[in-house]
Amino acid sequence: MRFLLWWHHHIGLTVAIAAIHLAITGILLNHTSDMGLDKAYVNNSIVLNLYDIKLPEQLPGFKIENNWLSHWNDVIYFNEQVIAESMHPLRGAVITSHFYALATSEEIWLLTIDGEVIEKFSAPGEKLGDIISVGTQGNNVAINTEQGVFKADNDLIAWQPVAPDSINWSRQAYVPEVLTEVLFAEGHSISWERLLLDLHSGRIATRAGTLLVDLAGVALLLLAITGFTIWLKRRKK
Amino acid sequence: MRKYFIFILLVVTTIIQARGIYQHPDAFLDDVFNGEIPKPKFVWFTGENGKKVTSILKHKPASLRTRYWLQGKRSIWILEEIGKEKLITTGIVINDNQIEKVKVLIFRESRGWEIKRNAFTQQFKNATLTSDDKLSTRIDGISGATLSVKAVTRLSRLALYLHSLVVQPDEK
Repeated sequence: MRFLLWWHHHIGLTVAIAAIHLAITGILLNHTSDMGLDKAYVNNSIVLNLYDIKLPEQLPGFKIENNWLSHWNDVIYFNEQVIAESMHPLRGAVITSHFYALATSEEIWLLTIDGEVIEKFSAPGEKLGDIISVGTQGNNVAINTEQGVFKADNDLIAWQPVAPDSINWSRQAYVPEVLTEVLFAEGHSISWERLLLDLHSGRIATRAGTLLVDLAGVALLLLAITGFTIWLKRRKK
Repeated sequence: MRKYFIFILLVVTTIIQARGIYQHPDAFLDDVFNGEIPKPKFVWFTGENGKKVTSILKHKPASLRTRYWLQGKRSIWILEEIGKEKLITTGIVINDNQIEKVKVLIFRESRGWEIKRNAFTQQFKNATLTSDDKLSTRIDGISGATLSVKAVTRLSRLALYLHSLVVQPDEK
């Protein structure tokens, strides 16, 4: 009995902070949508550093007229405006007489000159392979893919092979520093819900963190078992 | 030991199944049209259409237009909607104002992937659009996948509404 009590007390003291941490983060996680934490983003550089998110020295992008199209942290920006999310790398942006066209390796967006999305569709990747670069031939959009160079019709429905040297390819440049700083400050990367989830699971501190939370879980289990056993023994007496 | 191994295998398989491209949209179209895909057409979300689409989705559509494929009384829609945080790409076949098929093509969320199961998508078969733009069939939810279920349900209602716009009355 004394042995059990000793362990119960010491486990309880050791795991107290972890239990408070798990309880608070757990309760908050249950109400993230109600509190809007799934739509609010963390902008603190110390927290973002934990996720290896750093402001790149130079953010690559594509300039059309006076607008910058860039891709950072799975978000595609039209200047400062978020236009879409994509996990695929941005391959280029071009202008035709009707719209701007923007391509990642697997998707194409058509935009108005104000950055409003006209249409998004899957690139013809099944047949042509991933998009490597995008350009124009006259007023038509062209793509360079793993299977060769193809030119689209006016509605970007049918793709025909075309000679690569006739294409005016979109060229990558670097987004001005002033705009890069705005994009970083606005975040759109790690939501408070994600941070809470990673704090709760311990993933915020990588493998050591998850191991620590696992140990806390085992300790809480032992606390319950020793507590119940002590109660049972006292009851018998 | 064998039971433990099977359990681990099941867990790993479940995780692998959860997120990803289940079928490329091009492959879905190939399947539906047996390789002879008609030229797509466009429907614009402007004016009254835009208001109706906004009311069905409960938010402004992410684009100004969408493409669709029409063959007789059948129309095919590749539509996207956010479940909780990420887009769910869904292929929907409408035939004669009824849903013929719903298939989850790309699932990017970390939770709610159970909506890809046939047992769930089969519920939409033969559903029509009621006068108040709801589905005629009751769709049973999935525990832990509520937002994904709602997203696919909204897309099915949207596809039925868009079908009614593009199929001329004499073709119905």
